Amino acid sequence: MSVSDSISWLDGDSEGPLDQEDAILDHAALVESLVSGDPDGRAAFYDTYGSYVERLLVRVLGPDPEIEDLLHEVFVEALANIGRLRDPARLKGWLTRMTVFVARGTIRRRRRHRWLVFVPSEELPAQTSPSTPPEARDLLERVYGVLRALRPNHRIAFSLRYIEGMTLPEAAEASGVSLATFKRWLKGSDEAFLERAERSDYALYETLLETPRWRPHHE
Amino acid sequence: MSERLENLGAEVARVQDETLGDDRRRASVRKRLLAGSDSRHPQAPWKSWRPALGFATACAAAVAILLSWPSAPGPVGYRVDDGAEISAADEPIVASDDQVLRVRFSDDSWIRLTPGSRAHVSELTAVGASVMLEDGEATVYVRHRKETRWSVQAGPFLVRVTGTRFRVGWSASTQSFELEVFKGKVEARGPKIEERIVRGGETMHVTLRPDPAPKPADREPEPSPIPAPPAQRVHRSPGHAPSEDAEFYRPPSPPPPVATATELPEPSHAEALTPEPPEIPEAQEPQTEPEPEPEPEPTSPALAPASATRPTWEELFSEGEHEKALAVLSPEQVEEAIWRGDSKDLLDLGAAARRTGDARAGYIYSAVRSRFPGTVEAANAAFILARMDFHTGRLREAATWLETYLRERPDGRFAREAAGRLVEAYQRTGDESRARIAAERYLERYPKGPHAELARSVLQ
Repeated sequence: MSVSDSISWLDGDSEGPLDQEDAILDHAALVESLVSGDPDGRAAFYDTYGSYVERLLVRVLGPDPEIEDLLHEVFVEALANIGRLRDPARLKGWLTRMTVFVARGTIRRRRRHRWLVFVPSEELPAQTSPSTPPEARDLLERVYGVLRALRPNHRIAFSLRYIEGMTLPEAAEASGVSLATFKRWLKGSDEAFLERAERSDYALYETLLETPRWRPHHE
Repeated sequence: MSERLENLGAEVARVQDETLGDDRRRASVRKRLLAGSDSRHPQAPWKSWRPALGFATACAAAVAILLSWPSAPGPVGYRVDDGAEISAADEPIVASDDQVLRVRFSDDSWIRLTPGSRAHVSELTAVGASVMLEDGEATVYVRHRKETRWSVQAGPFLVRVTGTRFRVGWSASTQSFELEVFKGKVEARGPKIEERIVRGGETMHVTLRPDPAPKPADREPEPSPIPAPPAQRVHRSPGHAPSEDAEFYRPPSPPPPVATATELPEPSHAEALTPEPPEIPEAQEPQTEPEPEPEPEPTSPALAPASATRPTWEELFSEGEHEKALAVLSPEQVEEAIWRGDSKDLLDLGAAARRTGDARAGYIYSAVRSRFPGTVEAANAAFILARMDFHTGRLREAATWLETYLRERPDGRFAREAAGRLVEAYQRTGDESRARIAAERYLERYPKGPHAELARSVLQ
């Protein structure tokens, strides 16, 4: 199912909070330019939200060779469906939900195919900066190694809440579910993450239980 | 635990943000998008035939499984560390004095014996096992399944389990039993306790001797020392062996009714401690708990519910409220907790101190090392002290703590990270000869570890 065939959330009737960060952006003008197919509008749209969407995809999927394609896919779908956005002020929230939807679809597709393939497509070297310390690269690989084993909704909930740092209402809105449902997902993700870490990466599990991070909490 | 997951997530995000600073990927997508391209990059050719090949393999595997499917499940087996599978009962399992011993069962359950502990598996069935802890301490994880039936006998105490994680200890010399349930619930029975359900977050401690000793009797200094005010502290290198650490603290004069003071190592982070010597209660016997309020279920002193008045450190620790303990307890109560709490609580207290920026973090970890020398917890405290020094730029001190950890726990769970950080610490302090030695040691054990590249660069 493509993003275009998906459900009514694309209609942009979100009840979620307005994003204060891009409040100064003239959403109405931007959306109008996108609807009319203005190339400058398309460039402005990408320049405004490109890094945000990329960051969300990286948060959910981790080090992944398909991030570039998925980033492109999110914007292609957004541009194709911009006419359904009723409230331009909700543009960022709408785009967030689309991003999470694309990421979830990718996760589900890979899970369906996982038992059919020899080489897991996600198990590739971590894409980190050359200056990233080895311990940090190791941490990324291990955390996403555990996350890959979780159910898609649990993985999404964990990534949005703990890695991206969204509040519960924000994360529920981004996931396209009620707050109560998201809280259930999150509770499930906590338990699933710990159980999986305990079974498959005991050092990570005990690090979680017994030691603080390498850096102090307050600086 | 949510907070720990938040901390972990924030650390992951921080690492990812370093990569996101590189805008080449975004630039590539921008170019495609503005060129009007709606197509993905072409897939690598090998990806297109993977599903078909995988399907064929899966079919072959399914046939093999059907042909070899056993008619009835056999009893659970186990391995001690990475040894061969054992299916016989009553084989002695003994942990050496300096190493933790892991016993893994074929139903995914496991037991971890602390150094010096002794146990044996008394029964193996298709749905679980019975383990006898003869002496020492074990952390137990039982994988829950529909028909799981496990039990752990610790001295005369029996703990029945269907799927949970807990720690159990039995000291034959002091006749004391301890049970701490991390997750799930267990049923415990034995002298003085009848049959009792113990749930996640609860602990139980029973001593069968007529005059119970303070817990843990074999580890607490006799009597509880009073740390000296900062002006009297002696700073020493953390690399000293535990037995040499006995002379660091000097109690203020005149000391309270305490015959001698056990002197303890100076933490390398003796920051912002109370300027006046804290007042420690004079009583050296274990304090009797106030009578708990009447409860629907029978209670024991070890499971007394939280007092309606100000909580004690024991109550806060038993509820896992270590951050709250630091915040609401008086400095004297925190001091008492540090010198009477068990090692796990102190590590949790230290972690809480670090999370909240409490300057007593280093002091707490130093107390762990002093009070519980030679234990896993003491070694872990050394590792954490190394981390704290590493972050604040005290790389030489960090290196000394890392060497201490590796000496005490060469196969500990942080050994790889410690060995890698050691290479980094020596390299950054310009100590080339030590950096080379550390790099050689690292590559010998972890040729593909995360610090392998750094180690190789040091050796070039």
